[in-house]
Amino acid sequence: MSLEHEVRAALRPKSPPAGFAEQVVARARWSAGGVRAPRPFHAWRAVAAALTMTAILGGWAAREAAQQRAEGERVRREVLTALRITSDKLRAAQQHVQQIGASDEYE
Amino acid sequence: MRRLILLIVVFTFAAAPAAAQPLKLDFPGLAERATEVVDVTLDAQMLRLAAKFFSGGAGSEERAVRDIVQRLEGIYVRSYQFDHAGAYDRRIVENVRRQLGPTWKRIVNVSSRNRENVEVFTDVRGDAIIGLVVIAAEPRELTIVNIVGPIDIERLARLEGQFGVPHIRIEVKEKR
Repeated sequence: MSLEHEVRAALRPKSPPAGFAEQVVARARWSAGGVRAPRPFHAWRAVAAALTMTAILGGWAAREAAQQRAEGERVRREVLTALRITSDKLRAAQQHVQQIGASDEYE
Repeated sequence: MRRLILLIVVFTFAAAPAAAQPLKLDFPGLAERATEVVDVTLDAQMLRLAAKFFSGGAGSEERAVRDIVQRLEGIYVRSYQFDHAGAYDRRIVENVRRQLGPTWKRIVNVSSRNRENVEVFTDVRGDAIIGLVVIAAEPRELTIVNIVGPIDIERLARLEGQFGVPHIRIEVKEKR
C-alpha cells in the first residue's frame, strides 16, 4: 500500500518552474550551434562587488587623508621650529646691538 | 618673427616675479660631529601644505602665520650644536656668505670674540624683501637660516609672543 502511494507520488505530474521552457530552448540552441546560454543575472553579485569596491576605495582615501594630515602636522611643527630659531637668533642680535648702544650712552 | 620671439622672451623674464634662490646648505660630515642637529627643509610645495594646517578666523595668529607661510618659496634651517669649541670649520660661514649675490645687503653684523657672531642679510628688490639669511656662529653652535620669498616684516612682527616666537624689536641707537 505504502509502496503504491510512493510510486504514485513519485510519478505525479508536476508543473515546471517559471522560465524552464526558455532555459531548455536556450540550452538546446547552445548544444546545436555552440551559442552559450545566457547566465541569469544575479543582482546580489553586483551589489557585493560595488560594496567591496566602495570599501577598498574608501579605505584608500581615508589612508591618504590620514597620511596627508600627519605630513601637514609635521610640516607645521617644522615651520614653527624654523620661526622660533630665526627669531631666537634675531633676538640675540638685538641684545648685542642694545648692549653696544647702552655702553655708548654710558661713555 | 625673430623680433616677436625676442619680445616674448624679454617680457617673460620681465614679468617673472623676482625671487631669491635658496642657498646651498649642504655641509657634509658636520651633522655627524654635532651633538644636536636641527635640519628644516621646506620648499614651496611643503609650505603650501603647511599653510593649510594654520587655520583660524580673521585676525587670529594662526591666520597670520598662514598668510606669511603661503607666500614663501622656502624655509631652510641648519642648526648644529657641538660638545666642544672649534668643532666646525669657519670656512663654512664664508662659503654661505659667498653665495649671496649683489642684491643682498648685510643689515646687522654683531661680532664678538668669545660670544655669538650674528649676521643678518636681506635680499631687497625695490621696496620688497624677498630673501633673508641669518648666520649665527658661536664657538659651540652654528645656525644658518635662509628664508626665500616675500617677507612681510609687519606680519612677521605680529607673530611675536605667539607659538613660542619671542618678542623682537631691533633698535639701532645712533652713536653720539
